[in-house]
Amino acid sequence: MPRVKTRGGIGEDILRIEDQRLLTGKGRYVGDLPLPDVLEMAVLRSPHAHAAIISLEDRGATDLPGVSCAMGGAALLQEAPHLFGGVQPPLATDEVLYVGQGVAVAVAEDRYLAEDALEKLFVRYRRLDVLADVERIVTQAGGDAASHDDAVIAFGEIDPLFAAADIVLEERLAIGRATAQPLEGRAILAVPEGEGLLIYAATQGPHGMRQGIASALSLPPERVRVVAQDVGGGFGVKNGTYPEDVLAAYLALKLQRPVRFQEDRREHFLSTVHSRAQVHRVRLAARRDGTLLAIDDDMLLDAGAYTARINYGMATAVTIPGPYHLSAYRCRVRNVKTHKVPVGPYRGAGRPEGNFVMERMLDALAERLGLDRAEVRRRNLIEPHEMPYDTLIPDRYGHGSIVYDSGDYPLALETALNAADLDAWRSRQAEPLADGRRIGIGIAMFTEDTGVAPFEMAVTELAADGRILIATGSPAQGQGHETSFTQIACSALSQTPDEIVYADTDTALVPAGIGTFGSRATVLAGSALYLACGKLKELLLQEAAAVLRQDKDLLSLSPGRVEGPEGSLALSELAAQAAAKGTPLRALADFRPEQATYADGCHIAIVAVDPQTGGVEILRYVIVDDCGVVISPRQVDGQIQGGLSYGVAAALLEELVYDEQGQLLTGSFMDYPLPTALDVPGAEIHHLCSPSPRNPLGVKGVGEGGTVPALAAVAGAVEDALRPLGGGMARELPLTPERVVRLIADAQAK
Amino acid sequence: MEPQDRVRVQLTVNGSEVSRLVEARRTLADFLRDDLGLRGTHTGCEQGVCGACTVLVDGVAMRSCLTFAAQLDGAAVQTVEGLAGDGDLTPLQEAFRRRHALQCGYCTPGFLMTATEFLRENPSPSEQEIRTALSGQICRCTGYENIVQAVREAAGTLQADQRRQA
Repeated sequence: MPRVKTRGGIGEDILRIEDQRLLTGKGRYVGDLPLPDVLEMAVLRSPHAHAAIISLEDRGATDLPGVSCAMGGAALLQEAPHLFGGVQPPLATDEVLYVGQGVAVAVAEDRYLAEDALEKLFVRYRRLDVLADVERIVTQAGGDAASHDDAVIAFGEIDPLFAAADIVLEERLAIGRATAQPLEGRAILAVPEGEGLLIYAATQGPHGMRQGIASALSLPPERVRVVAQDVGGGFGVKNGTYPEDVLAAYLALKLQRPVRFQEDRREHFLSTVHSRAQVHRVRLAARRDGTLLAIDDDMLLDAGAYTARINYGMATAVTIPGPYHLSAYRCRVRNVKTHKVPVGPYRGAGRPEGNFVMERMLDALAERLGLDRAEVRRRNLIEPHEMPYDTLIPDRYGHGSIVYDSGDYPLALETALNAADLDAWRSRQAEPLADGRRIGIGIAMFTEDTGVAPFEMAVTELAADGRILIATGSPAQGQGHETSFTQIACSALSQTPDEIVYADTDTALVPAGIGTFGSRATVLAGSALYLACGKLKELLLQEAAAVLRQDKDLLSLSPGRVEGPEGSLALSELAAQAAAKGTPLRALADFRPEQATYADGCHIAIVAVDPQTGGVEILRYVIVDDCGVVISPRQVDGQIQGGLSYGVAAALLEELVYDEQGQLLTGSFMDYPLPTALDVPGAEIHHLCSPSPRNPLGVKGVGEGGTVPALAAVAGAVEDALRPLGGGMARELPLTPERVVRLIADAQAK
Repeated sequence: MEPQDRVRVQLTVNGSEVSRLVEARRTLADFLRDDLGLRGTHTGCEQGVCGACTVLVDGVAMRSCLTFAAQLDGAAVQTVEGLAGDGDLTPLQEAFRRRHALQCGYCTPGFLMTATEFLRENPSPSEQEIRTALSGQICRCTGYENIVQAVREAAGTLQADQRRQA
């Protein structure tokens, strides 16, 4: 672990560097980039969930002034068949598979004109049968249900344990379809440059987008350069290459004009990946004393029309066991095809759902045994002396089994219990509040794989002015890498933030990269950066030793200088000498850990529930989080608090509701309620620090830990509040007011 | 009038006189961003819900995505670019920075404009009043807590500044 203390280094609570421009309207989001001759793109979208395209007629679209191009999928296929080699075609040609799928595209001098052009395109459809409900599909089709990719994650002998168990519980648990809704929609600006393209994109993974676009356009990857500047939120959905990305890139090349696609909110609902959407049939086997024996889960994921780029159902499967001892485990993952928007990762990417399943089942076990919810967990937790702990869960990347690296789960639980002052709250549960509401308490613990492999790269370079340029393949979408990565460089190179220049994430600067998702940027790109800084330091000292004619081992770095016992040298002078020699002082590092890091923690939610209206208010929320070494304290807390709002939303608010015809009924912010300042409480955050031995910084990821256990904690609290009124188990999210009221009504009807 | 017909508007934007011919259908947000190059104002939903596009029109917070530029003849518009000018940050902007009240920053201009109007109307609000006043603004990154604390801090700063000036 780094020990060098510098002003602005690792762990110091500095103000963010990027804030000045973002607070004054000088952000550089894709939609903000001024280009004189840019064309704007619009896409005509299918109104049907499943239909054959009979014909597409142009009644004057291309004749409109200011319109450069308007065409349907069939015409595009004829003109550029090479674009259609991917999983999903850039436009539908003869059949549409979900409401919102693109059937035609127009580009014009502005978006108003492009939409005018779309109004002159007339499509005739013939409607076909719609697959909407996964459980019905599987029931009707039996083993023949069309499925994108299936898998089983398992260890141990399940059946004997269930046969011999004192207690067997079986439940159906469900988490609704939802999507991330970053306030900046997807955005791409493709600029023709030489024989290739310069692309500015609101993306979490510029290198993956380069590969995706190059491959779709049959270009060598080096002809496509992707740059991510300021990005207005990502949360999982701004990753990979979407059909509109391929269209904008192709049309920019064809028309030799810059083409921009800026998604509007309605399009975001209908074409950006959805997520969650899982139904679990889960069984739990335990001893009478509360010892867990085995979990057997059968998961159906409503996967939408095309195969997901990331099978996050697998992440759910490896998350379910959590911080507990388990003798055997089996999880069957089925990604069932439906006529809906394809799915993909969304903050937590399957982990919140897995956590929800396990933590709800533990609550059910506590209820069955008459045990305290904390006590059931306490009796099953993996102990710190067992670390590193081989869970026996098969690693979904084929690297043997998952081995937790570090953590003190019992301490996390006790710290949270002490902080939450539960006795005082429990004493208020016996009677309703004056307004009739009931108090409920929920507890959830988690472990989460963060910093998932395979690699990230970083580049550091002594710039001409003597400052140090840092670059990685993991752009920020709010995570504040400009600040946290600068802090890493400050510690590694004994500099202050003034001497560090954070570069936009640019495929031209860093040879390869994966991107920012899965709580991985600091773990992987941060570690690569730390290693690259170490290499650069060696280079700087070596060059300075030659210039100063001093022993390299006696030299050290200070802000802007190399210091030696017999004189020092400014880094700017070193830069000038390197420039004169034509040998840039530059270092590249490639960090490839064998396994992920495992963050953990405990959430306690205290809620007040109105049994009449089903309204839920979160009165207090305590979080204990262990993400190892903290680089940027305020940003870590910011990630946790922000993550919590996603957990609260999944537990209480957000759901993409489809009807049986595959029509999205909640396609705007009016009926898909995002959490507001009135819904999300300020969490009380406590930190534990179990450094990860799997990277040079000792860090673990933190972007999703605020979300993962919050679904179960809030649901458990709502259920707890209504138990005295005869309420049943909270099995289905989100707990909308209707579902909350039904917890009582349904239980009483039985 | 047809949506594409052009209308002459004269207004002040951040204190400067502006006179333009605009299409009747052009939103204030697009007018500010594309015609005047003031791209600090962002659109998040174009349905009037998320509040990212909020600007002040004659001192009152308005959704620029649901307002036509043609409606604003004679109005005075203030955007995020007009808060600090080229100088120091306003106390509210400072408080946002100190309290880490922004992450991706995309919604921030709308929050700043709404909170600017709110603090002028209610210089010493309670936390609940702040949460209610901000409940028409969506932020996807922060979980709101730091924004609420920033507005509280700005209220304190604003009061202290006024005491000093008095």
